[in-house]
Amino acid sequence: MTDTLLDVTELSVHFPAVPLPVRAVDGVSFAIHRGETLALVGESGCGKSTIARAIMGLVPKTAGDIRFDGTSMPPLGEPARRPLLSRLQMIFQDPDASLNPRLTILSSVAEPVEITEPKVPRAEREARVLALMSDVGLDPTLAGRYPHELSGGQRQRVCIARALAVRPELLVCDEAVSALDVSIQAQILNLLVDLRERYNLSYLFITHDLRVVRHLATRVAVMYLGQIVELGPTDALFDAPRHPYTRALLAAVPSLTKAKVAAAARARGEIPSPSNPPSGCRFHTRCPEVFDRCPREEPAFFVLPEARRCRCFLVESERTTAAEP
Amino acid sequence: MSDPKTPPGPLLTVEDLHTEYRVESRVVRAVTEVSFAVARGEIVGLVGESGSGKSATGLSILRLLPPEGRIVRGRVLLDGTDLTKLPDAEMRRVRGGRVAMIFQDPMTSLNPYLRIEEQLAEVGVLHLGLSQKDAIDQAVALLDRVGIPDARRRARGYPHEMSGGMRQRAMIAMALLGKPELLIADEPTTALDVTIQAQILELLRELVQERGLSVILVTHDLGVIAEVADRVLVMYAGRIVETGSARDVLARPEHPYTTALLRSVPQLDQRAGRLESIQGMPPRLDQGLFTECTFAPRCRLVRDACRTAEPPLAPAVAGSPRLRRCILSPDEVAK
Repeated sequence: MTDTLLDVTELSVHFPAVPLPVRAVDGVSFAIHRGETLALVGESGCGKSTIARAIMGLVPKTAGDIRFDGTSMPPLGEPARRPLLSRLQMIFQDPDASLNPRLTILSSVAEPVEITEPKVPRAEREARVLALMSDVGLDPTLAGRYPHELSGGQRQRVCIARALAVRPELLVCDEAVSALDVSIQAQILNLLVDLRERYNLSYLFITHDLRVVRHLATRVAVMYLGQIVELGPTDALFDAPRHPYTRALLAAVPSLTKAKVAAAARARGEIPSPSNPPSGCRFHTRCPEVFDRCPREEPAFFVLPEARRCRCFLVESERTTAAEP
Repeated sequence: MSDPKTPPGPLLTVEDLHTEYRVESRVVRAVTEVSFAVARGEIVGLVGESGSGKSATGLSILRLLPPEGRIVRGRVLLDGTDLTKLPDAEMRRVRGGRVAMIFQDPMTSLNPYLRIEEQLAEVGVLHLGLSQKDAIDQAVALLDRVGIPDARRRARGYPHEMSGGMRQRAMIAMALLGKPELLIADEPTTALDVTIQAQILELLRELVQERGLSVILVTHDLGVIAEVADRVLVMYAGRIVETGSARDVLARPEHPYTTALLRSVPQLDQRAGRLESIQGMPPRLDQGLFTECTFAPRCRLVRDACRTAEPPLAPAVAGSPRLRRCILSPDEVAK
């Protein structure tokens, strides 16, 4: 067992398209340590969900390596993948699309246990389901109900219980609270924090909502057009963002407390197409601090002190000589 | 009451609005006892969670409710004219004319088969009696104003050729064509990325200043309210539970629901230990009249008196413009 649970190296996922392939993910590297919550944030088309799907084996990778607990992950469907099935689980934005409407809650949560641990007797399996239901804050008397009889928040709890049923080590959450009303969202966020401690879970938390990230994440990776542009510990990244895109994102979040942000920090224009990303730095077409070098040359993912990285020429002078993590 | 030539007072007054949906044998009381006014040049935010009645209120004003919905009581006065009593033909002239509405998903309002300029020009021809050419020129000028680059060329394209943010800009341009005095915007930025949302909110603010437009902004996001709204109406279970200037309500809420809602939103500038979630779920609205405060079952400050009758929307201090539907004092709520 190593401290690094998931190690993603130079991952690329391209989708064939006419006239140009969509470069959804383009050379992305990051690691998730045990007990850590890494947030992947960014706007539409930045590639954050594609990374999750590539990790789960739901889309084939074009290049790069994904290692789980030291072992390179075989594609979904290969027998060598089976032992990993229960170690990584995923929950999605829309619980309605993830639950079979014809299965009771009990059957939905029990199903993954039946598949991964067929030797567990039925009575024990059901007892495990009922215990899980109360762990995620669902009244066990709901076990015989069907998904349509529950509220959206309750259905998301069912999805969480089902993901936990096989005792995973890594939970990939793709916009898992984005469709919920704020009061319900707060309940689910609190639940995810509790479960992280109780089950010693690690999370890959994918979201467009920076407020949720600040609350939940240990480290944050900010994505733009298929690349990570900034990576670092949550508090440091939020308090002193280094990449102009991170600053623009933070400035754009409506806040209850901060004064209205000067338009200068904002990103201009529209998000370009990932089929044909801008030359040089991909953010240069929208960057408030663009200069002559940006359209010509692509900045490296510079390593900075305090375990931070940033893909911008403006931080080049501060890069450390330390080896890349 | 008001002089139609130089109308004083508010542009829009909603009085005691009640809206119901009849689904099979059930009656869902979507909007109950809603009263508010919108002044000229004012942005009023209608905020609440799913099922709070915020969208139904917006749709009721323009009589755009689905077939199962109807206004059962109340008046909607636009400069003194009751829109609920207007004949259908006159109501059609109001929609897209003096009052325009935009929605979360511009694709549901744009015709995918028509060029942008054709559908925008239609508004100019219909509401302002312009020629097709003048209407297109005006449409292009407005597309340019709302920030669509290369507007003349874009106008000849189709909606699917635009990004979500562009389509919402085109919708705003279309809404402005009829020279509206009131714009009802229902979750106009909810489907957009944050950097684009910030641009659209900025545009709305500019248009209000430039044209003296009034806006009813329907949203679930208190942050959006904080950014742009002058006044806010907080809705719960079909009712207004608190109203006042956006700054006051967000800084010192006087209703326990508003307090709880504010505390359940994670903040950007600090990491909260634990979010305060609201226990339970909103009440069903198809079970007849309420005999207690609608928020009582979920309220952390509930007491026996809350269970005996629904409190009226009233000021804590007589004469204050701040109203709330709660029997507790503001100090008790702030605890």
